[in-house]
Amino acid sequence: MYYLVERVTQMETSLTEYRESTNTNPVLYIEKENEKIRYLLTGFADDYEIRKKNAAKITHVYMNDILRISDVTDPELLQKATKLKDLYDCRVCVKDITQMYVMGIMDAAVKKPVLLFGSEELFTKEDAQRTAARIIKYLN
Amino acid sequence: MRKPNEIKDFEYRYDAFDTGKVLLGKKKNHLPAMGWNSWNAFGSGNTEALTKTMADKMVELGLDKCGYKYVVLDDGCYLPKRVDGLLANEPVKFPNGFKNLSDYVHSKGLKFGMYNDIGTNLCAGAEVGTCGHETEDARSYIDWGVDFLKVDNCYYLWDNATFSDPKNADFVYTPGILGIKVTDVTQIELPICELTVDDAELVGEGIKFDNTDDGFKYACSIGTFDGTGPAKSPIGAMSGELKFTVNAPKDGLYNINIDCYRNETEGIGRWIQLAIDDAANDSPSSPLRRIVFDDILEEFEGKYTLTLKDIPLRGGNNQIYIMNHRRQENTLSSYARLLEGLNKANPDHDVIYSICEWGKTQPHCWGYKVGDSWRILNDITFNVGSDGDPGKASWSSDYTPGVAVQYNKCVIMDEFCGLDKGWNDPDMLMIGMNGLDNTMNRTHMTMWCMMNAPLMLGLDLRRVLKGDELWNIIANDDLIAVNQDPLGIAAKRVMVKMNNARKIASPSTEYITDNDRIDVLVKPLFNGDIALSVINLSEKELEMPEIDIKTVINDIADKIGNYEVFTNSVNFSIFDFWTKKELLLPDSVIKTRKLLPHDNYSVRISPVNLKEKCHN
Repeated sequence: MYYLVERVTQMETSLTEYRESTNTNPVLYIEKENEKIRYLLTGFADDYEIRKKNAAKITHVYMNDILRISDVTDPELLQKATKLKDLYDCRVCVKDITQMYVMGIMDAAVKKPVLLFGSEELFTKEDAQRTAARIIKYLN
Repeated sequence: MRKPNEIKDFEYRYDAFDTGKVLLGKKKNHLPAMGWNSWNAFGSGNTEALTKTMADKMVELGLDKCGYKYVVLDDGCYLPKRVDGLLANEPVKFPNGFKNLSDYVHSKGLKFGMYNDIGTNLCAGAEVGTCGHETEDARSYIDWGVDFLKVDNCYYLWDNATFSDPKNADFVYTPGILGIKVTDVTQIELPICELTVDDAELVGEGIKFDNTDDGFKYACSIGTFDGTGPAKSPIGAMSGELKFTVNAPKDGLYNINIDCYRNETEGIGRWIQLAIDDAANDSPSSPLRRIVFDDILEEFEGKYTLTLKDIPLRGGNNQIYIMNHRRQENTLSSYARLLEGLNKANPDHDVIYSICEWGKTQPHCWGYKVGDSWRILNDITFNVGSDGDPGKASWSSDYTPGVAVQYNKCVIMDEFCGLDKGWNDPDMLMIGMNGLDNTMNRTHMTMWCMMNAPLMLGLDLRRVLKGDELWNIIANDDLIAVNQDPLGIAAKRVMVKMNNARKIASPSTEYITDNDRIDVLVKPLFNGDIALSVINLSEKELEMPEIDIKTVINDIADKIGNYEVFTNSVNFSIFDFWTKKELLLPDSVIKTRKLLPHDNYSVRISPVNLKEKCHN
């Protein structure tokens, strides 16, 4: 996962440069950003075996630090994530899973008989594509 | 198949948890540790530069003079994989290595702390847990000059039971138990008894019952309950056992068949411990139970019979226990292995050992054997900060985050801690994080000081100025003196006033999670004074009860050396820890007053003007 966070950092450099050059053209910026999101998420799903909890962390960092998307702070919305029975299984991922879940970027893997995020499940290329699409929708 | 080691030393057994015996020469008589830990402030984003700045700030702000001395690197400081089998520093964040940083911290007159895990990985994922590397890792820590070790419990091989994957319960629960059959080895066709779970006595708590698909009743959840969350009280039984009474016709060898059942549901595992107490029930000095089986069963689904052959039983009643205390025993053994490593690396070391297994295996029952403190719950916040972001704290929540949540459990655990044991750890301080106002911060500090909790600051110290509100809270030397009082006795809760008027019969032991209330804590001090704290946990303004000092000290009468002096004192001197005002009470009664939401009234009380007879 460290390598993936590093990769996010590398992307930040290129996006920062891109932002500077496209400051006056938000449409172009968004389109280019979408491309980057797809590249990032599908790319890491291809290259690495990654668990859903780590995908949540990476995606959250990416949304916060690169896309500058603020976290959800509405307590009522945040409360929804506490219904995930495995939310606290990964102590360092709680914040990330919460945000991804309440933003609608990632879904619960199991809904019955109990709601489970599925932290330990592998994050597939299809999951990555779905996540990228959700981020784009969220951005727009 | 990998499985935990055989436990050969009785002192690591559940039955020895209350012997009071400290293991492996662990040094005791440490007061609660005080320092700064990187986690709440910077999460995994801590760096060498930030750590050095925090060490500088500790000195600049005079916090070292207040007693804060440990500078602890939490998760996120290692290279994600070992190098030649050894731990290594993450080179971007810690470019000059840990020894260099340790030397820097020591050069400031401070002490250096680090972090690891008893599992294979650290919580943030790095594959450098101490499991299987205890000896070489301990050597590294000693070489780096580490004075304090916080050791976590993520990716622990023998106890990764989660709600999401019931199969992970293999090591920590027995299979479902249908019953037992005992036969004399010389007459195996004629059982001396066949008992179902309805014939068993339930010992402890937590055992549940269900039916197999074909309608047979079985017992499950035979193991230790998971204390990571705030659901259950830390007082009382932490596990359940089935106890069968078997009347053997004569001394001899017997076969014991245990009928098991297994499916993939919560509370069903594969590890069984079978113990026999073959002393007659009327024996006043019953010997310790002997364990005749302690192992994992092969994979199976549905029904299975485990046959234990040639088990000696005594003529008359034998108590046969089916149980699984491995959740606690394994965790203790794993923490002990790292301590053994430290002992090997430096037999004279006095590394402060902070057990961070989040209360999962009820470490207040066994942590004293190897550690200096033990976390009592999962984290106090999951919204830790980063450079430029103070992170977010809360007063309360439905789970473990929150000052009040941690306090509610810790405040009834005073009998489990002490100088000869170690300290309950309700996690690091959140003072300075977003989400807590100064009233909450003051009460947070008061609670931790009264409960003798470790005081580990968790804020970016660049946000503190000497003399400002935050500084006045974390550097309140009168309160710190209470925490660090050499008597080393944690406060006892002696009174609870529920806002709904519900009566609390046992304030010192009743687990109360309704925060709409006021608590009164009393703590004996070395010089014969007492500290008293009245805490409004509610989000409403509440009226504190009238408190008669002579009454509330009754609950700590056995802990103070001058109980008689208190009872014979005509009046009392009161020093307020927050206003710093002193006054003389005309009698022994502290009058009622309003307390703001989340506020506290906390004082040091000294007896004065003793009655004549006390001077004689």
